Amino acid sequence: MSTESPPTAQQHPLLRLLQRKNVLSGLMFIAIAAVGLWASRNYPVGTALRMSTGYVPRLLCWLLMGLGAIVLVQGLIEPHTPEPARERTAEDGVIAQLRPVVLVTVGLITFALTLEPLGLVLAILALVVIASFATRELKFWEALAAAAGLSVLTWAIFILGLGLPIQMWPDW
Amino acid sequence: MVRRSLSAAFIPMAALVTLVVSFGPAAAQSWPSKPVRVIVPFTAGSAVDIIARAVMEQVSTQIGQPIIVENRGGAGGTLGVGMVAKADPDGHTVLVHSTTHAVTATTYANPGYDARKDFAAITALANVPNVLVTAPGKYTSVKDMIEAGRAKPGALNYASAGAGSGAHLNAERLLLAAGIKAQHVPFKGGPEALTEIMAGRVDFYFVPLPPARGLIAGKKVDALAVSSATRAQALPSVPTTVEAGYPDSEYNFWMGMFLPVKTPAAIAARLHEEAIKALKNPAVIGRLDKAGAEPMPMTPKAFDAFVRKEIDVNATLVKAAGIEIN
Amino acid sequence: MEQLLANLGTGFSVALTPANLGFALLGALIGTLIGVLPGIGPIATIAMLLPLTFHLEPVSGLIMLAGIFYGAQYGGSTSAILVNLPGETSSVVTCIDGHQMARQGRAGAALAIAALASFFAGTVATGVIAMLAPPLARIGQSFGAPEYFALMTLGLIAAVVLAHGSVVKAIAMIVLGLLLGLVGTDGQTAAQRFTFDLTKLSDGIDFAVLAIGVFGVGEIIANLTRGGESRSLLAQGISRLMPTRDEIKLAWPAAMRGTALGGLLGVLPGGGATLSSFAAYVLEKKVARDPSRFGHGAIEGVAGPEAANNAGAQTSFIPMLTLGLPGNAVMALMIGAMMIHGIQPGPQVMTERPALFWGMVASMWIGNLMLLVINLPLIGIWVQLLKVPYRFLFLAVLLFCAIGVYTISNSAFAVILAAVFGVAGYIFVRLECEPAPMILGFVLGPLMEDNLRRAMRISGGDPMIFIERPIAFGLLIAAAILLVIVALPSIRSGRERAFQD
Repeated sequence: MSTESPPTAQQHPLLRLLQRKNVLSGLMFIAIAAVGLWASRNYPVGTALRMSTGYVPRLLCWLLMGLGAIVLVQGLIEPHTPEPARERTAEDGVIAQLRPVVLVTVGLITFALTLEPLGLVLAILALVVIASFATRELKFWEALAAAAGLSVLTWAIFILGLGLPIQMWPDW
Repeated sequence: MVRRSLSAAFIPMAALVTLVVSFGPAAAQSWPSKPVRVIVPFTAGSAVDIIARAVMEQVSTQIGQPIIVENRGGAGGTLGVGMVAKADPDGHTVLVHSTTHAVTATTYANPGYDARKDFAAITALANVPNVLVTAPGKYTSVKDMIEAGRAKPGALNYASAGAGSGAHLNAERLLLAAGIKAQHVPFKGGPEALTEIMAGRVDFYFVPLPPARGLIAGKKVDALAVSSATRAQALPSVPTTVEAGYPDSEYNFWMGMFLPVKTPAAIAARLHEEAIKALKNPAVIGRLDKAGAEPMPMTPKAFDAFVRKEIDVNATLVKAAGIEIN
Repeated sequence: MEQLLANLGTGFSVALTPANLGFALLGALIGTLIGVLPGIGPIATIAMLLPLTFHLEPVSGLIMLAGIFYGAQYGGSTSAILVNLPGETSSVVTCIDGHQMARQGRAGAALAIAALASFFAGTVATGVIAMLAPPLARIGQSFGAPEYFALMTLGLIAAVVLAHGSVVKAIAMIVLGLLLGLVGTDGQTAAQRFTFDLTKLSDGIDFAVLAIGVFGVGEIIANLTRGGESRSLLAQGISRLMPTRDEIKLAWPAAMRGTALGGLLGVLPGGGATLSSFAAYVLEKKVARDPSRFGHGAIEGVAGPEAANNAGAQTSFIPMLTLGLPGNAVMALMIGAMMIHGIQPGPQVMTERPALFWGMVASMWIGNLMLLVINLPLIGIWVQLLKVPYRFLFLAVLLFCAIGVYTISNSAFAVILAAVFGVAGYIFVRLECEPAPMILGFVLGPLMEDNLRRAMRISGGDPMIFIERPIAFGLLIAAAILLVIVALPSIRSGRERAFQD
């Protein structure tokens, strides 16, 4: 964890700026505000005394854009980035960083899409197997065993215990 | 290695299979051959949900199959209704809905189903009278209140449980019948609206009887009228809005049962029969009464005609109330 | 006083029958279970169990349902502390310092303090209900739309204090939360906002989906990206199960302050209880000698909010018991249960059904005592859970998140939404944008907008309504003062930081 990031001197200055957390945060807020303003472009606004659907949303979007701009400027004028990217170790590149992000998300989405058509057991299997690739520490058989154990556990808690209307198996 | 652990993993799974299969369908010929799903398109604990559970518990004992009440709220109930419209028409998926069904038929331009064509009406289950309540001593009668509103245009306001809710359309119906306008103040739910009525900060509110009953008895609010066609059993001295001098002002909050339209007639008839039987069960009648609802058994034909008329009436009110169509 | 003792005597004679004790225990156990599990909350559970209570004595049924309600409050803090998984609004705050304590090996102390503070608050609040229910109910009634708007404004300004980093970012996150809170159908005109033509968004984003996504899933992703070595959740080993004397010395006054604050806010039916734990956290951070400890495992940050939350949960029964007006969905269900038994909730319950009223009051305290007795021994087991290797633990937590989110509304879409918020939560962690203020914005935003527009409609468009109403005006002045207090040191320190960098 304490490994210093490789020297970034040879990187393009723009790229270096983009690594600053405040620059990225500012851009994120501005982007969200822009999407919000676009989505609310047709909402009737009304007046301050008789607010309609769009009054508060548009007000908040402009506010967020302004705040995002302040954060962005703060990030840009920081003299040098005292950010040794401490969460990046030598062997962990961007790909390795993205791996859990993608796999956890895909695992959850697969679970969502398979739960109703295929039942709880197969959905758990899908979630656990996909998510297990998010860490290199889990062996494949461990993942399968975990899926089985968790199937029994969730069955006992949610279906036997709480009586939730969730199907265990697909409709044959 | 992998294979061994695979089989190890499958032993508990196999145990699960046997456990689950024993609950599974037993391939019977007649309805009901498996547990019946009742879709309530509102959250658990809402008035419709409580009534549905109270009636369905009895139906379940009669048919000897478990009935699972599933709450599928969302998009004004249209998500749950859409699910039933698309369900297998084998009688194992039932919809219990309410007045809202007739309202969303207008307020949702494209809900993914046709409220007039996609459902077979089975029976109404119950109706809950709406009561017009005001702060104690504020007005002597409905006429007094309406005339006060007529004398000072823009001064009268009324509470509701949200745009397009029963309370909202009920108030619009009275205002339409009286020929005046009033300011709509929507709340998230009944309790907040009742608090404002008690304090006299909002003028009137058509509240479903159950939550208001105690407050009326405790003299925290005045009941000026009920909006049902006949007086409420619980409030025999309170006139209906029609009796109070406003024809065409009645409004009901009803709950009823539907099946997908393609369900075989025999199954629909059987469900109708069982529901009517449950509605005549003294325990169910007692439960409904205590919840402030009155049983409303109807033939499928009469209920179908009733629902169609409700859809038309609510379409007029939605337009009058200026509710946005999505 | 004699009257009170006689009443409490009646109450305890009802609540202490073996059957009713059993129902209180059953309720507390079920409540603890669903509280620990993310997603599935007391509302869904009580709704499912409602038909069961048809066959019980009314008092027994209500005692059990109330037990579920408190049990869920106790259980909710457990998962917040152990795995950063808030199941309800109140436990978001517990995550901030409680989970930090767990990471430092002080999970046992955090859990014990949470249970003890809750019990203390529950005891005091039960006493308050017994003695002061009617006058407190009148205070609750004096709150209308303008007062709620003013109160929410105050709460929102206080939300800045929740963050321990940049103030501008905290404000931006609050605004982002406010915007997320707007998603769905506009309650005033029934128009759709920010739903992007997805019908499933038309009821808005569920709080639990957002919280489980941003905190629970986001935390899992962040943990997985953190280095390659095998690790458990614990940075160090588990030190002790029970809090030290020093910790108790810090926690004790915090629990008292939290109880007072939460008890007062709980009386307001229109969302006061949701504010209680946030408000208590802000208060603790402001009175602390060294506010920088907050966010890094300050025990007062657990004790205060937990006490406030439980006191608020308890006093939120007051409008229901005295007027029959439910302050939240759980109360509404309990009223449903009462009505099924032919009890007409309303001002007359207290006089016409003294056994029921005082039986419930007595059982509140008994329920709290039971929860303490259940929870203290459980701490050892919970802490053992943290020793499960993280490569297995994260799978279980992820799965419980997924099922929990699904069960909220039986919606697969909600799971996908939670996954998206999980990624967002991870991005927030990486960019050092703290999510707690966003959650408060999300909760308060719709309440603020609704009450503002409602106040304007009631007054016929006259903003003087906020000045003419003394409580509203007072709260707005308090908000202005707080704004200055919050802004001054941060402007100063912001400037200092700018020079340092």
